Amino acid sequence: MSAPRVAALVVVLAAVCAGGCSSVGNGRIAQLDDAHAQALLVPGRTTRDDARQALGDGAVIRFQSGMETWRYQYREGIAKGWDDVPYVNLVVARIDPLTRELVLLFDASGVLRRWSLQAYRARHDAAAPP
Amino acid sequence: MFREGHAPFPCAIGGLVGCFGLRMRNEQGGMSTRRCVAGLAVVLVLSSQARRATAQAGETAAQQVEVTAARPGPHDEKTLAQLLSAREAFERHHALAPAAILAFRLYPRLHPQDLPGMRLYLVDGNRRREVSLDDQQRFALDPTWTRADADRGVLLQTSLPDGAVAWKVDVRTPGIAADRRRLGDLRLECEADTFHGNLQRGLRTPMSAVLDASDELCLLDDAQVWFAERPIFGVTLVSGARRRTLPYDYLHGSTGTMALAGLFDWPYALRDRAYFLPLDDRSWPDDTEVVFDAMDDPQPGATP
Repeated sequence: MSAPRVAALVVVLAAVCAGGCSSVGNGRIAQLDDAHAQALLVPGRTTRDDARQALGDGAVIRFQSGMETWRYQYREGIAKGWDDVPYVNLVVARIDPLTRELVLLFDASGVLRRWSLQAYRARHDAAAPP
Repeated sequence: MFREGHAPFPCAIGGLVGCFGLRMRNEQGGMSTRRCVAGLAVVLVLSSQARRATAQAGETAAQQVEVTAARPGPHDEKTLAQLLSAREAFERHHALAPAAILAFRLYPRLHPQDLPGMRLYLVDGNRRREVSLDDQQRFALDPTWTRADADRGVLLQTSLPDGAVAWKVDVRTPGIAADRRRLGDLRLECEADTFHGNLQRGLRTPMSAVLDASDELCLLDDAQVWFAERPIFGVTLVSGARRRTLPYDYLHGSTGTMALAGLFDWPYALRDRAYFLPLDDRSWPDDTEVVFDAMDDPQPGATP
């Protein structure tokens, strides 16, 4: 490999690493496990305000029924925005970073109904223990 | 346009159609209600004069009048040709679900309350007859519907306005439980719909046409959206001991921009039931079960 190509690769990798991890929310789900989630998230009792205070704002989808989901994500190593950059996305796919995902379901009155927590890699079927 | 022949009270109907036509333009082009009323009054006066003149002349012969008027807006419809094309693709790819039966299904796309009033008609020129739907708004192709009918422009038309209905190919292997689907059935639905039946709304790009030509379009994980029977909170693929709970990216159209979402079927009444599948992962066999976790199911592990 020629010197300019090596230099270009180093620049790309440096840029990828500089991107760091990416998260939706306040990043707390990076350490959140099932036991902590069960203590923090109680269906029928936890409210949207409780969730916001503990985890920050999630990415919200509202449905016609009034129900809504809040999604929190944390991905190690490489910011998700790099997935859309040609060539860099090939590097990201090769690394296949671990993603942790928490989804909350609130009813129309803002009370938690369900939650799910999982960690996964894009190229692996089995979810890693959250 | 529709036609109505042998009207028993041609003058009165003419007045009504005249007013109706004005109202249509009022909705679409700003014609005022006052003009509509004025128009109706003129028609009534003229019809009264015409009746008097007819009585004076002692004419007793029956009149036959053909009234033509615009429909009150287009209805949501598909051509019979589309449905027959879907059936041809279904037969070509039948190995994905050898025991499955083909049907078509209608969903209220915008408002759930449209469901009770939803009807389906076979429209052949000026004639139309109702097509019966089962309790899941499904219907099968009638064996008497032919390619010649399709070439003549026969339509399947709903009672709802254009845009209010999502049409889906419905492929079901008998014996599958209500809370799950068989992956091969869903793969076959994709093959029969995308670029064949062309029932789902969406963007048909030149690249997708190329992929379709090489039979690879239904290997893209966003080629097709499906709708579960109830609002869902999770989808899990199960094949023997192998399981994969899909990331939230596959549910509710949760990824990407909403800028063009209105061009698709899922963003409105069906969004809480919408899911995609990792069609790009060919390692899952056709007998894989697609298991739904409904929104109103209890939280796993929660103490009652």
